[in-house]
Amino acid sequence: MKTMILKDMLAKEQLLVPCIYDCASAKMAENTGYQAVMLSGASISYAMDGLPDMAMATIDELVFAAEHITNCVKIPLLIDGDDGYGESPAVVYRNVKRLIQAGSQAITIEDSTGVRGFERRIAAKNTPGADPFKDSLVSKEVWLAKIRAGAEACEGTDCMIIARTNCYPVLGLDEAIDRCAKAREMGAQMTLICSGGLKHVEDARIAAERDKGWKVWPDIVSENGVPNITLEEVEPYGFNMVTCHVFEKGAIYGMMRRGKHNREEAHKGKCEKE
Amino acid sequence: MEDNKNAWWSRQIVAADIYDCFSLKAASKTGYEAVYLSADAVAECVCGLPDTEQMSAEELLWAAKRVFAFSEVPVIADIRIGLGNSTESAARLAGRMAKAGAKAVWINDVLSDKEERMIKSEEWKRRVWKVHEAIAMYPCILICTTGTRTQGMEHAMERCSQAASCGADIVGIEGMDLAEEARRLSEAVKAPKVWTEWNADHVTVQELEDLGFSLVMDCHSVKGALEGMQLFGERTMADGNTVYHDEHDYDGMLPTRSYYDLFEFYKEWIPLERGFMETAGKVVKG
Repeated sequence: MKTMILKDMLAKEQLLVPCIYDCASAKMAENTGYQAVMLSGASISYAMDGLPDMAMATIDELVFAAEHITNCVKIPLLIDGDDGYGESPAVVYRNVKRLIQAGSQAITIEDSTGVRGFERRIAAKNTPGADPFKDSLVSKEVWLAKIRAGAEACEGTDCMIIARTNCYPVLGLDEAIDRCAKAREMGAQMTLICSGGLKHVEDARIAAERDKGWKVWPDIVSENGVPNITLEEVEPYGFNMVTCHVFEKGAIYGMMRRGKHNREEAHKGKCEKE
Repeated sequence: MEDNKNAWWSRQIVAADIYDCFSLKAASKTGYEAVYLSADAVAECVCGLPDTEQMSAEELLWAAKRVFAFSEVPVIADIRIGLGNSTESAARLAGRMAKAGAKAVWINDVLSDKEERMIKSEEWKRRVWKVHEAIAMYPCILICTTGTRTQGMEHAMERCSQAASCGADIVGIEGMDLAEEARRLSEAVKAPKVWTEWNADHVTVQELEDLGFSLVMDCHSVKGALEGMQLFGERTMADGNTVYHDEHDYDGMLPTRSYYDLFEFYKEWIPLERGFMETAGKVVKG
């Protein structure tokens, strides 16, 4: 089974890339027409481990999932590589090698520390007066060294590094853009500004002025039925990949719908057949 | 350790199939009081394999250990024939499942689903006994089912009796779908019984309870997950945005529109983390 090459695809067109977390979600993404998938660190924690997105998943769990997924779909797999699963660039180099061996075609490496994860933002949202749980960051130098390590690990392969910065809440959009531009000098082939740095198309325009090249728009979302961007309006600014989360909720909804039906019918002698 | 091993199925239980912590959460939120980690579902959804015959014991344990650690309801570990050809390897896997937290281990006598091959009767009895021994020190019961229905109900019922005499706590025949078959099994085998695939149009769970079926397995999660993902995936692809996903209210089944609100991990883990930091801060300050 020949896998398609992500870099070739991105050179031709913009991709809407859903986050997935196992073989079933990857296969369903492929079956419903998506051309690539992103293995989500948060969703791995939730689905595989029953744990929060607080840097609790391990590199071995990512490798396990990546190997199985790339064995059963032929669309490219990208991996949310968090901080590279190590403090040292040498450890990140080894971990990127392992993820490439497992079949990944792109790996994000972010400038967070072990104190990270979406769970902190959920907590802040749901706990009035709570600490903001801001993302804590490694130094720019350490992050760029990790990017370099990842890029060297990718040499001679079809895999590339996506430099992801979470620095916006602490350091602002200017610094986030600067970090991305410098990450390209280290060998990153795509960049990704997360943690609220990119909200609307105007942010895309500002980022594109100084960060030239392929970029990822992090998780298209909507509020009150209105999407924050359209795919078409960010594409001219180099955003040839837009990620989204839909399969987690879809799976849970589908399972609960069938389970609820079966429980209601349990004493009537009917149920929906597998 | 064995005192309460039978408490959770002291009355009839309908158990949903699961394969990860999403399916576990969906089942418990829907009201299921027990679940079974389906080897077929783990093979298909977690490992991307067509059947359990290609899955290793380590792959099943990988999923099982994580589910056991997260679950608040009893989890039955379905290990098929043991994911290996030898009785010794089946017993070892059963023991590891029980040690990891399975409240029941479920084995069968099917060597190959495709070829409808079963292990011989003498080997079946030995396997049941060995697995029984392997889990005896843990709060874990043994469920044994047979795939020999195609060889006739008499033969299958004999397999159930053999399993019960060798240490099985619950026995059953796979693939039954008629109330008449349930009655025949109930008359022939007095041990507690399991109805393995509750897809019958003619048997209620109450009837099954009256006939001594302590466990009813409700297999719906894989199909449900695939249906839901297909719906959300197709709509998002067609719309080019996530409005359908974001606005979907789970048909009112949940008070939230966010899947992560279902878990509320932050309520446990953030205060835990903060507590460690506060304790350390007090020591530093002296």
